[in-house]
Amino acid sequence: MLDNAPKYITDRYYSINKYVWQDLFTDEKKNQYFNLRKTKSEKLKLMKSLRKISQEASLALFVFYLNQFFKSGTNAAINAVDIFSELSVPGFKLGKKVFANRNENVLEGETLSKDLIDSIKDPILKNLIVNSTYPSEILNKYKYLFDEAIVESYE
Amino acid sequence: MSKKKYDFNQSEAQQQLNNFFKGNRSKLNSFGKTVNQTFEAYVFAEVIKWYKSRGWSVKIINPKIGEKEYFYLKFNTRGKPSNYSYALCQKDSEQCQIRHNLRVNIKKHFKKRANICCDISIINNLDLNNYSSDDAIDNVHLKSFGEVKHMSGFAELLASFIGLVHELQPNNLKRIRIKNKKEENHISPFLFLSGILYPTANGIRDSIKRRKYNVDVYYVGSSLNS
Repeated sequence: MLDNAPKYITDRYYSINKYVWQDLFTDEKKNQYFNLRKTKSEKLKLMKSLRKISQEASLALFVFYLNQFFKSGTNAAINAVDIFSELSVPGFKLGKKVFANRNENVLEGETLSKDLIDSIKDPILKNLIVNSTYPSEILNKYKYLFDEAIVESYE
Repeated sequence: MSKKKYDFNQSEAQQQLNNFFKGNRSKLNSFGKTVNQTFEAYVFAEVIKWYKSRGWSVKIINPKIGEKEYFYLKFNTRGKPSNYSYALCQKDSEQCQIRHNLRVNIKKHFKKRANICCDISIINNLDLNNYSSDDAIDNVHLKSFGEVKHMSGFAELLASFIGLVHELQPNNLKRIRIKNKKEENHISPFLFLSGILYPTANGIRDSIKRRKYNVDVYYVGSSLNS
């Protein structure tokens, strides 16, 4: 998945992956897991299921953060050019890139955000990304599934 | 809630993401090269807005190339201050400058070079025309400063920011924000993050508030000018 992604994006993915697993598999959950009266293979099956839930959560959160990252780039550029224009400064330059009004460079993040959302075909994932405001909204949905998987394994 | 409701096809989603990265490679590289500095420009602009909203008049002073003036922010720790733009602020008889990436000596500065390049600094209205890339202004001229990070906040980042305040303006690390304390004339030292605060970082921020330190931490959803 990340073969064609630049490093600043792959770095974010790896840190999100680690963060999500640590957030889902809390000490309390670890105790519940290790205290299960199940065979080794049953426990392995459960762990595989928990990993899958965590991977889904990581992927959803990664796309969410990426989308927010792109949009925040444009928001920052818009705010900067608007405040500078109030001071009669038409824009600012970064290397050869000029940021002014609502030019291509200012809207670059917004364009990437749109392309990212358009590239996601799964309605469940798309809905999660587009209709969440905070990352905790996504994480809490998967925490519920995670807990449910452990509770169900007691039955 | 049933599991199926959030059970999307991971491998298809990963393939779609891979296609997105492949199809937008040059745009992603271009965006990545400038997104951090764009965020710095935004925070610089927000600090100007802060001063304007408190009755300061603000004028942008630009370097000249030949007869023409150009607006250049300093997106690097290297470079003579005189080659870059800054904001000159005035209120009543007081003047100050808002600078980008300026070297400032630490408070306890002795003979050896001991300075920090502040992302945003508010300083007295000094003439920096003869300052080289390595020269630092004396700490006594520093009114305030800001650290800008285009990332989410983890605990060590906040602790490191407190370290910066300790070196540059340790007087802000006391019980200053007590009840009925008048608002300062200048913005307080701040850390500005584009992302969220992770739980332990939030804990440190809470502790800073309880200790009544004169520093601020901004993150997604909060603003210098709210």
